[in-house]
Amino acid sequence: MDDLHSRMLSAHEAQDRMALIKLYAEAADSVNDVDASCFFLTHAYVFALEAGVPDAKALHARLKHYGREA
Amino acid sequence: MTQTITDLSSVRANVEHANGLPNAHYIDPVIYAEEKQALLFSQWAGLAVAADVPEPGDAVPLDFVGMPLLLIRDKDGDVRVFQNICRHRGMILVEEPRKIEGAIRCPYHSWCYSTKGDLVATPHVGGPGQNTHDAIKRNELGLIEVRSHIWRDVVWINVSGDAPDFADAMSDVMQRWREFELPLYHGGHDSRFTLEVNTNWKLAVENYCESYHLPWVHPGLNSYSKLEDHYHIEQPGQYSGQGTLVYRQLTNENGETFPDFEDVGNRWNEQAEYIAVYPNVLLGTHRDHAFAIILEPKGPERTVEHVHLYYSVPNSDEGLRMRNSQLWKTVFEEDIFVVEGMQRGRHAEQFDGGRFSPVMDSPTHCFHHWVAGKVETHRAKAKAAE
Repeated sequence: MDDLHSRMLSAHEAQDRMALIKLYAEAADSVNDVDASCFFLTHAYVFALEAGVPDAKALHARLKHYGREA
Repeated sequence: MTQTITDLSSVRANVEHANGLPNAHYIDPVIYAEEKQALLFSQWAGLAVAADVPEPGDAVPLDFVGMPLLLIRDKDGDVRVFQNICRHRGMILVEEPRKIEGAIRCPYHSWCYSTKGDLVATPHVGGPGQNTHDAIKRNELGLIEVRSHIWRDVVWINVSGDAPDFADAMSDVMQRWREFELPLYHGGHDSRFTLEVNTNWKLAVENYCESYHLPWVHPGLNSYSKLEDHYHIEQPGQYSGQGTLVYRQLTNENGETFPDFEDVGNRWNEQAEYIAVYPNVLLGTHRDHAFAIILEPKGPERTVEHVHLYYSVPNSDEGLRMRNSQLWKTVFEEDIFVVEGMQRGRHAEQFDGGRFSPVMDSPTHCFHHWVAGKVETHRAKAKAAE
């Protein structure tokens, strides 16, 4: 997780949205707690929305499944 | 703040007896703020041109008399104007011109909006990982859209939202130039320039309206476009300007000209018109090209003039375009010392607004009369609301 965290910080610094989507999705999959997972999924979803990439649809579906998104 | 009240009764007198607007209308920040509401926000004012956002997703943040706006071409190609603020904490959304690939994300808490202004994401609004809350109704919290309309590629906005429909407000000038209701093609990067001028925006309108100054300020016109070849254009309450009967097309070294706008009629072979559409848009049209100048008020004594040139075809000759841009830039630069000189003159305390030539200055008086009427109406409404 430390490595993931540092990769996230690098991606934030570089404003690399595609990397941010991937890394936050990876973080969501790396935790067992639904709340923590949805926290990370939310970030992945927001960056996907901003980038206008198809990943947004699947990320939205996952959040909606957990009652976290409209 | 002490309210400045100016006496405008003599401005609205007949042109033979009228005085121009008092000095305060050019130098006083209180009057400037009053005119912002009375003349700019309550009317259809020019903000930009649609060519500033040529492709879907293109977004340009603009400051319109202190109000942060966002000019954007949405995903379906429609040009829209929003207040450039998040509905959450009022944060500025877009700081620099850029392409919106997907959604507009607020840099503060990442609320996201579509290019049509819909609020599409509210991350963590109901707590960490909880992205909805019953109190936050997304369909009520879209970006605040400013009424806008495109005509002659100019993006006109009505900030107050209560002006008559654009087609009604502009019906006379649209009718006047109905033959030119044809596609306009912006000439591109070589056909746009800005002039930063130390003047109140109204003086740029006033100078543009009249032909009286042409032989003195633009002596290059005397050889073929004499004062007597010009006529006044006046539509009280809406626009004024001047026309010429001896327009001569620009040619290059091979004698080539720009292609004409098709089917505009023989009347326009040698005729051209220059109209100030109140409040802040200066338009010109000719058989083979047109231009639009958006006057951007930057304060009581500072204006940026955004000049854009248009042609009848998308692929006009580059050399001719550059020559035409330089020609007009020279003409407009010749006017700068005049509007800056008049601006400095407004600090002479005994100046009474000046007088008008009853014969030569009536288009300028037409503008002053409009300003005075709008300001007085604004004051009456403010008083009634007290």
